[in-house]
Order: sequence, then structure tokens, then C-alpha cells
Amino acid sequence: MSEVVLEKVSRNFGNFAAVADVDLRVNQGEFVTLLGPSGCGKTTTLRMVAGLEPNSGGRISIGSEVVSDAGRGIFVPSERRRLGMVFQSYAIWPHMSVFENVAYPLRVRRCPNAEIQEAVARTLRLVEMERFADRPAPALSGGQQQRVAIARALVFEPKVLLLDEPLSNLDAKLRLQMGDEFRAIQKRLGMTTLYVTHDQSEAMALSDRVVVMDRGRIQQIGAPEEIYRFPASRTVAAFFGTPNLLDAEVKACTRIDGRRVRLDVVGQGWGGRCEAAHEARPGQAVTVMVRPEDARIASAGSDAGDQELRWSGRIAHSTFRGATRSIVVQTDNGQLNVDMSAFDAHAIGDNVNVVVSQRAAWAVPRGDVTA
Amino acid sequence: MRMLLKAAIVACLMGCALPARAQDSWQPVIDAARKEGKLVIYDMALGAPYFIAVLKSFEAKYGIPVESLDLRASELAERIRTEQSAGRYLGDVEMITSTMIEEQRQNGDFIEKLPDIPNARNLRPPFRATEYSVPVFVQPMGILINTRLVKDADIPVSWNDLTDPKWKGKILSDDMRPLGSGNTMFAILEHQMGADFNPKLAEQKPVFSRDMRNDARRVARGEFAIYVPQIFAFTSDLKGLPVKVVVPKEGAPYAQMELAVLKNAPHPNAARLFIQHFLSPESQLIYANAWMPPVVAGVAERANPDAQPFAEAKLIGPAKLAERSSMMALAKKLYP
Amino acid sequence: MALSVDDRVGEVGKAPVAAGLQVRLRRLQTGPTSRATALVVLVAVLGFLSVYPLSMLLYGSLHSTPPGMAGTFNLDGYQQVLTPESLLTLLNTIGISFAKTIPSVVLAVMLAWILARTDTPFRGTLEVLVTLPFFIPPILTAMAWGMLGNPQVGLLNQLYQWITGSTDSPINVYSYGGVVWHMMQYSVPFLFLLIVDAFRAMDPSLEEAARMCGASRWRTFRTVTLQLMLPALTSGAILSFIRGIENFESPLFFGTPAGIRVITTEIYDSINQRSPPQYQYATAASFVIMALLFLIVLLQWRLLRGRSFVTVSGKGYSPGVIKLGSWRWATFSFCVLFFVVTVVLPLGQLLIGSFFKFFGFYEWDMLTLDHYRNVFGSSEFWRGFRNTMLLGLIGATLTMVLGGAVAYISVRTKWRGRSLIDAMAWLPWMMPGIVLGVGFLWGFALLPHAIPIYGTIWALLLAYISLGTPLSVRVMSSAYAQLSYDLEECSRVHGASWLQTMWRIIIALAWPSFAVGWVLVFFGIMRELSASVLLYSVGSEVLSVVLLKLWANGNAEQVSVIGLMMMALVILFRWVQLRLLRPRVGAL
Repeated sequence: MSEVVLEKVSRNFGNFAAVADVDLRVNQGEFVTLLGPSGCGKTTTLRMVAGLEPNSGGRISIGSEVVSDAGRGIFVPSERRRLGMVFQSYAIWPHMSVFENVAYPLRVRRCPNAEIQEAVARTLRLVEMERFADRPAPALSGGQQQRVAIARALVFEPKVLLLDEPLSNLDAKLRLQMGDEFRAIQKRLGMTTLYVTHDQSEAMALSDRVVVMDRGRIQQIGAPEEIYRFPASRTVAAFFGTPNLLDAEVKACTRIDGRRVRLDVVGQGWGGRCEAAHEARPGQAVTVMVRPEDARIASAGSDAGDQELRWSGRIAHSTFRGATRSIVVQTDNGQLNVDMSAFDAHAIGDNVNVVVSQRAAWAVPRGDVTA
Repeated sequence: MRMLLKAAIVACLMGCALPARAQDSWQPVIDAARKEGKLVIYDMALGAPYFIAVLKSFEAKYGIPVESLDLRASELAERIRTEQSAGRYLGDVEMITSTMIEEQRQNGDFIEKLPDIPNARNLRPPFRATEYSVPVFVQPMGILINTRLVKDADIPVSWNDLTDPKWKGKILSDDMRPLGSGNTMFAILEHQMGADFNPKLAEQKPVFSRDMRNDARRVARGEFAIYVPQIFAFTSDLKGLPVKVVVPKEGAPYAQMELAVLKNAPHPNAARLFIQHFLSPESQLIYANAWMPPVVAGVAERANPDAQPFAEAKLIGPAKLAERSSMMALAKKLYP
Repeated sequence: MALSVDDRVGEVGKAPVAAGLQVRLRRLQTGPTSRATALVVLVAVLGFLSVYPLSMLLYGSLHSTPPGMAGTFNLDGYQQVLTPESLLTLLNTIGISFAKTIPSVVLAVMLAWILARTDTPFRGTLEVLVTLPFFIPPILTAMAWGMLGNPQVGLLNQLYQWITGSTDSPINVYSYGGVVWHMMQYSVPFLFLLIVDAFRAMDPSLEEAARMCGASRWRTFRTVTLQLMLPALTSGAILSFIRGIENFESPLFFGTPAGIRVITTEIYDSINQRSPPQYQYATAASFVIMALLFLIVLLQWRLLRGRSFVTVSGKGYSPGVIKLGSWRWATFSFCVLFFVVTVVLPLGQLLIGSFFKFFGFYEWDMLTLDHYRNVFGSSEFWRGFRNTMLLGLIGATLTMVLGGAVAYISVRTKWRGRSLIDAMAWLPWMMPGIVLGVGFLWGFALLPHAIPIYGTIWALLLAYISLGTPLSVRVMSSAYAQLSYDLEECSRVHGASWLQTMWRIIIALAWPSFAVGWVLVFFGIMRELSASVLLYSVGSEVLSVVLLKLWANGNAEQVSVIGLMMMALVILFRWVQLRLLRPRVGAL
């Protein structure tokens, strides 16, 4: 019974709304990530859940308890929200040993000493830090500190875990490893988890659901695949990878099923069909998103299928990336990014067609229509 | 001379006549004081041993414990003023300079009329009790010399000797500009020595200092040959050092300390008894032996030989309250 | 299980009695109500301790007579202060204080850096030794320096003449230089104590980063170390500057003979050397000084506003010291030289002198233990000592707790009203002590008689807390300013209440500063005379009053015996703090 529910939560600093009308429900045992560029309000949101920051509007509940309600003046302080939290800086207290750092949440809850010994040992074993129990905290490496911070957040088995960019201080490899380990622990213990990051791949790899935020508002909530594939706005679309975003105008609209519509669009020097979430009137401006990995290079002159979009141009750049090769195709009206398998032979200067299947082209309303 | 003799005879007669009458009228005061059980005195003696000795003798004689609150002069006046303004009547007696009592009288209603004190009749001229207070001891000042730096032949015998050019730059002095011993000396000598004395002394470029107790030691160490004004009583505990205090032939300027009963004193009889005790020959002898001329007759002669010259020193002064600001202004002008 | 959170919230809402009670209970413990309560309590406490006596003084400055006497309101006091002559004196005062603050800061920074950040040998011992001059009563060092540095027979001049064969006396302490030098003996250790822990607590990676960017050691020190130390340094420097303005002992002893006039000796004279005391002038002058000092404090606030100086973060580091190689003997010698000049020279005089009948007369037949016997045999001394220890222990602890709370709110919260309490806590420091003492006298005496403060030992305690609070707030503010917020928030999230967090995290991390502040406040109390002499009552005599009496009765040697005892106490306190407590409480 430890959902986290945010209803119309907002936070104003003077006239500036750092967070505006955030509605979010994190279900029991779910791993939800708040994702967005820095300054988007994700950390503020997390801190409001933690009770480190008062919400100037709305209501936050943890489990069955309302922990802050701006309207009714309810504010449960952090220490009584029964949370575990990992800080970006780890916040390892430099005047305590590893053991004392981890034991702290139990000590302040006045657990019997024997229980503390056992719980701390168990948790340190979980994060493979049992050998370091007596080390003074400052004498730890970054990865070790992170483990201590996690152990401290887990030691009293909180129902809800909050993490504020916990991996951002680690190197790439350690980050992957810690992320995986972390997800494994979380699944095993079944903790409801709210995670903040600005790293999209981290968010996608770890989360059950991702919440994309920008300028204090939620842009989209959904499973990682869904958000990646069907972004609700240009902002969300732009946040993942380096998609091609092409301006176009709607000519016709047909509904495919309950979730999708098919649009006939015309851009500058190109036209064709794509899909979208909502019906659009003819003449409406849209942005068509084409992910580089969904585009394909076809030799010049080949015919376009009915289900395809097509641009013709010349290969301007080619970058070898190991698993893939990134190609930039210069068309009459701009550049297109295409990812292709690393060893397909196309030379710079070749005239080619870029082909995208209709189902991989996703149209979102033009401009940033915020949710 | 004849006048003095007459006064002495009168005093002696009164002194002889007093005990018989006093016995019956004074015993009730002692009883009442004992019943009050305590005496609180506000003083600026700062724990001087001779003052403590008088308190002890009072406690021993009457069995009345004394609480003595030691403060510096201005703090003493301000504390009494503030307490009384706030309706806190905690003190019984104050011991303070005659000019400050005069000032208290001008500024408000802080002291009671002096009750009848039999021993006050023994005061020797020029001392006399006023309606509100009675002098109890004096603090005269002379010239301190370093006996190694000042040859016997050069020892000043007159204040005028200080203006001899050979002492130029060799005189250390208590700052004459602010209120204090330096200015008291300045004011009294202005009258006694004539208007050209102070300007001449100023030409000697005396160096000013603000710490009388340390200054005598500086002279002893040879920093300066001469220090003025040296309070007699402060010299008695410099025995062993190469210094000597000289009483100039014109006399020693002095400050006069008086006792007064504070308004609404909680222990008025003890206060009265204490004043009487302070003016007794025994108490006065304690002061005389600490090199201070007694204020009652017939005590100076009984002082220890080393104290005798000082107990019998000729006095000049005291300074007048009315002239204080003009004297301070003059000192400021001469010593810019 | 199927119920959503909304439903549950709704359910709770349907039980309004229980919910209402719950809400109310919570509000009491936390949230805006408790915040308001805390603020109101602090404002009330500070109001009573600082604003109340100051308002008495303000009245005094605007009224022809002190409180409790008939008179009229006028601006005569201020008119007297705002004459060209007085302003010149004021300017002179500021000049002297600048002249002593700047070299003091330089020296203190050098000492702090050497002793906290380098591998100079014996730095643990040196750290205690270089702070000693601060704790010697000024009247004693004044006397000792008078003996050492007078142009006629001063020991240093005689030494110079003996070595060079000349008859010149190059050293004269009765001069501007002497005034500044005497002040510096107090301000260097004072500043050192205020900043050394900031130096120690700094994350060395910040410096290392600068070195890696190609900055020389000196440039790193200048552009990174010093900049990071700015809050601790500026608030220390301002405290020291203010003390310099308010110091009157040094100008009184060394300035008077040289005709140096400062505003505080004027104030001192107008109270202690006028009859009746010129309180209107004294208080008016003090308020003018106060206004001036407030401008300086405002300047510092503006200067540091919006800058974060968190240097102790939750990211671990190993506090490293810089290896100086053979240079460490140079830094060692520098510290020893400082110690010899500021401690051994004057204190040596006092120590030797205390075994002779008179200072400066070192002959075999004058050798005596009488001064020790007299001091230790005096019941008055022991009574004063007991009272002072009691007041010092309680007073310093309460002062640090109050200062810690005020500093916490002003540095670590964003509460509305925090600037107010911060400013209130500054006030007592900006009033010269001799004037503030009178403010306490007026304030406490004029309280309703039902409040039993006046004439008791508690009046002294309250005055001491008020006088010490500005210092404790500064010390704790600098300490807090360096602690990362995460360390504190992390504790709260993990279940510790505000108090637990305060105690286990904030105080534990700020402990070195707390201890230093405590010692400074303790010895401030031990030395305080102006307020003590006006507030003490029979039975509650304190050591400073005992010292005053001894001094006034020509027992300079006994005063120095007590001064030496105070030294021993300082060494004991610092040793306990550095050797026993620090390793246990703070591992920094």
C-alpha cells in the first residue's frame, strides 16, 4: 500500500512556477522515472515528495496518507514520511564510518542495537560493501559511496524510495552496472520507486514508466517504448536521440484505430503519409518525427511504395559509431539523419533516396503545445 | 596658633563630656542596628586594605555583617541613581567624593539628611559635616621621585621646582584633562600657585598616562624621574622600590571622601552606627597609618612614625565643583 | 487493496474528527506554526537581550537625562558628536582599526593555512600556542609591553643598544604603532580561531582542481582558497574591525601619552571621567558608531549574497595536507617567531615578575611566592572564580546554543524574518561594551520588581549571553555555510527529526567551530568588566571585578598570577578540545 500520488502539485518561487499542476500516480512496486533537461522541475518534484520542499499547490499522498496538501495546510515533515532517498551528492556524512552512516536511519528510530547490527550487515552485504563497514566515510571511492548511500536508503526497508540522479557521478561502465544492480534490488524488494535523471538511456533502461517534464510541466507519461515511439509533442520527441523533425501541413486525415490516425501531409518538397495520435484538420501545421534508425537508404531512382515517405538527396557526412553508422543526407530542403548498419557501403557524395515507412513517421502538433 | 589651641580645648571638652550623655541616647541606635542585622555600603574603595580593616572592626565590634559593593566613582553614582529611579532601595550608605555628593544633591533626591553623629563633633578644621554628609577621610597627593634619578639636592621641595628646565620631558603625569587626580591637582594648584604655574608646567611637556598604579612603577623602573600627582596612600605599598613621595612646602592637593545615608536606606540605624564608627579614633588611626591625614582631632599624633609626616601633611584644596568645567577646559587648552 | 489513494483520502475526510485532530497535532509539531513559534521565541529572547537594553540607550541618547529622571527630549547628544572635532576623532578611530585589521587578517590567514593545511612540524601544539595572546587580560599585556618597549629603559631597546652599541631607542610602544601592535596581539589569534576550522574543513579537491588548471600554488591560494574562505574571512574581519573600533584599552594606555584620540576613549572619558557621566553624549556617539558598523555589515551581506560556499559536501574526500618539503621548517619558524613575540615576551615578563615582589625588579632578596599565596589564600578570589566558572560554563553553553539556533535559521533556512533575527543578534556587538553595560543596568533595574533579575547573578548571565551572541552567531554561521544541504536533508528523509539532525549531523559536523566559539565566549565572559561591575551584587562577584580591585590596589603581580592561571585554563580547554573531543566527535 505505498502508491505515491501527486494531484495538481505545483511549486512557485515568487512569480516563477518551477513545477506546475503535476498529476502523477506511482503504483505499488512501480519504478517511475522523472526525466527532463536540467531546470525542468523534476528534482523539485522529487523534493516535494520527500518533504524537503513545500508544495505551493496541490496534494501529495504516500500510501493512504496525505503528506502534504497546500489547500488544507497539511505538511508531514520528511522524517515522518518513511522514505529512503539517495542524493545526487550521496550526502555521506563525513564524520561517521560506513557502518554508522548506514545505521543512522535505524538509530534515529531507536532500534535495538542487535537489530541494527544485523540489518546494517545484511544491507551492506546486499550492496557488497560489508568489508568496508569500519572505513571512515571520506575514504571511499565514488562507486563505494554510492553503494553506501543506497544501503542507507534501503536499510530500514522503506516502502518508497526516492533517487535524485544517483548515477550521475559515476563513470559510464559503473553507471550501467550500478543501474542494473539497482533495478534488481528494487524488483526483489518490490519498492515503489521515484527516480530522477536527465539521462534518457538510463531512464529507458530502468523504468516501468517514464515521466517527461519540461519547464515545470509533465509533457508525457508512459512506458519507455511508448514515449520513444509515440511522443506527444515535439519537445518529447526531441528529447530522445537526434530525430529528424520535419515541418509539414495536413492534407487529409483518416482514423486507423482507437489510438492512431493516418495523416496525409505535405512538406517543403516532399509529401506522403504518416501516423499521429490525434485527428487533425486539413491545413493544420504538424511536425513529423522520423527516427534515424527507422530511415533507410535506397539507391536513387527506386520507386516509392504506397506506405512510404521518400526524400532524395546526397550523402553529406558519414560517421562510424561501432554498432551503427550515422549518415547525413543533404536534401533540397535540409538535412536528414539516418542510422544504418555499420558496414553498408555508401560513399560521401552518392545520390540516394531516404525511405521511411509510414508507420515510423509520427506527426505531432507543431510548436510546443504543452500538456 | 591660639585659635587652634582653643579649638582643641573645646573639642577635648566635648569629647570628655560626650560619653556620659551619649551612652543613654546611643545604645538604642546600636540595638536597632543589630536588629536590622546588616549594612550595605556602596563605595569606591575597591577593596583597599585599610577600608576592609575598618569594615572588619565594625563587624567585630557590633556583630553586624557588612556587604560592601565596590565600584568606580561614576559607576557608583549611576548605579545609585538608576536603582533609586527604579524604586530599588538596596544600599544604606555611600562613600564618595565631596564633589560627587554635591552633584547628587543638585541632580536629585538621592540621600537622606545626615542623622546626628556624635563623633562628627570631633572633626578637626577645616573638616565639617554638612546637612547631608560628613567627611571621613582625605586622599592627598604629592610628588613621586625616583631616588636613583633625582639627586638629594635636586629633590623638589616646592611645586614650583617642577618647572625647572632640567625636568623637561622627565615628568610623567596622570592625564590632567579628564576628571581625575590629574585634573584635581591641576585645579587646586591653579589657585594655590597662581595662574602662571600651570602654563609653565605645560612647557615641561609632561607625558600623560592613565593608570596611576602602574605609573608609580614606571617611575621606579626609571622611565621617568618624577610622577605627579602621587597619592600618598598608594606609595605605602611601594616599600623596597627606589621611589619616594615628597610633600611640597605649599601643601598637598587632596580629594575629600564623605559618607552619606542613602534615601530610604533599608538599615538606617546600622548606617548611622557605621558613620559613627568610621569617625572613631580607632578607624581614623587605620587610615592615618596608611598615610592619610585623619579628619578627626587627636589621631595624627598617634600614627606610626613612617606615616606621621603624611598624616600631618599640610593640605590644600579641595577643588570646587563650580569650577570643574572651566578647569577641564583650561587643561585641554594647555595640553591640546 | 483495490481502493485507490483518492478513495482512502476520501475516507479519512469522512472521519473529520480524527483527521482534524491529526492535522492539528501535526501542525503543532511542524510546519508553519512551529516555525512561527520558533521565530517568535527567538525574536522575544533576542529582543529582551539586545533590543531592550539598546532601546534604553536610545532613550538615553535622545533625552537630556538618563532613564528615570525628569528631562526633555533633544538632539544635543548627536549635535555634540557631529562636530568636526568628533568626526575627526571618529575617522582616526576607523583608521587605526583598519591599520590593525588588515595585517591581522594577513597574519591570521597565513597562520591558519600553515597550521591547518601544511605538514609543518608540531602544528598541533603550535595551534594551541599561537592563540594564547588572545586570552591574556589586556591590562597585563599593556603593562608587559610598556616594560618591554618604552623608549627610556625598555628591555627591547636596551637589548638593541647592547647589540648595536648605539644610544637610539628604535622601539616606542607609546605611539600609533604601539596601539596597533597591542590590538593585533588580540585580533590575530581571534581571527585565527575564527577561520582555522574553515581552512581545515575545506575540500582539497577544490584546490587541486585549480592546480590542475595550471595555477601556481600562490595563485591557487589567492583565487580559490581565499575566495572559498570569504564568508568566514569577511565575517571574521568585520568582527575584528568592530572590536578595533570599540577597543579602548590600547588607545588608553598607549595612545594617551602620544596624544592619540579615538572615539572610544572619548566615550570612556565621558562616562568614567566626567561627573555626572555624560550619558547623552556617550550613547549618541555609540549609536553613530553603530550606524557606521551596520553599514559595513550590510556591505558584507550584499557582497556575499547569492554566493554559495558549501565546501564540506557529502562527497567524500580525504583531508590532505600540503607537503612543503624543507619549507616546512620555514613555516615552523614563522609560527614560533609569532609565538615568541606575542606570547613568550610579554608572558615571560608576567611569569618572572609573579615570583618577585615587584615587576621589573629582579633581585634575589625580592624573590617571593607571596603573590601566589595571597591569590590562592584569598576567599574573595575563590568566590569570584567560582562565580565566573559557573557563569562561564552556563553562559558560554547557552550563548552557543542560542547563536547556533540563530545562525541556523539565518544561514540554512529561507524563513521570512531570518534577516531580522540575524540583525538583532548583531546589535550588542556594535555597541561599545562600556555603554552597553549601562544599557543593561538601566534595562534590568527598570524591570517590574516582580521579575527577579536585577541584583542577582542571573542579571550577569543574561548580559553575558547578550554580549556573546553576536560572536557565537558569526562562528556558527561560518561553520554552517560550509555544510552541504544534502547532509542535513538526507538525515531528515531518513527519519531523523529536526532536533536529531541538528545534534547528530549539524552540530557534529560544526563541532570544531562550536568548541572554538565556546572557548571564545567563555573567556569573553571571564574578562567582561563593564557590564559586570554595574550588575554584580554582593555575593555574585566575578573574577573581572576581583581583578579590577586588585589592580586598583596596586597588586599588579597578583593580577598576573590570575592571568597566568587563565592561560593554564585556556591550554587545558584547548587541549581537551583538540586531543580528546575532536577525534571522538568530529572526524574532520
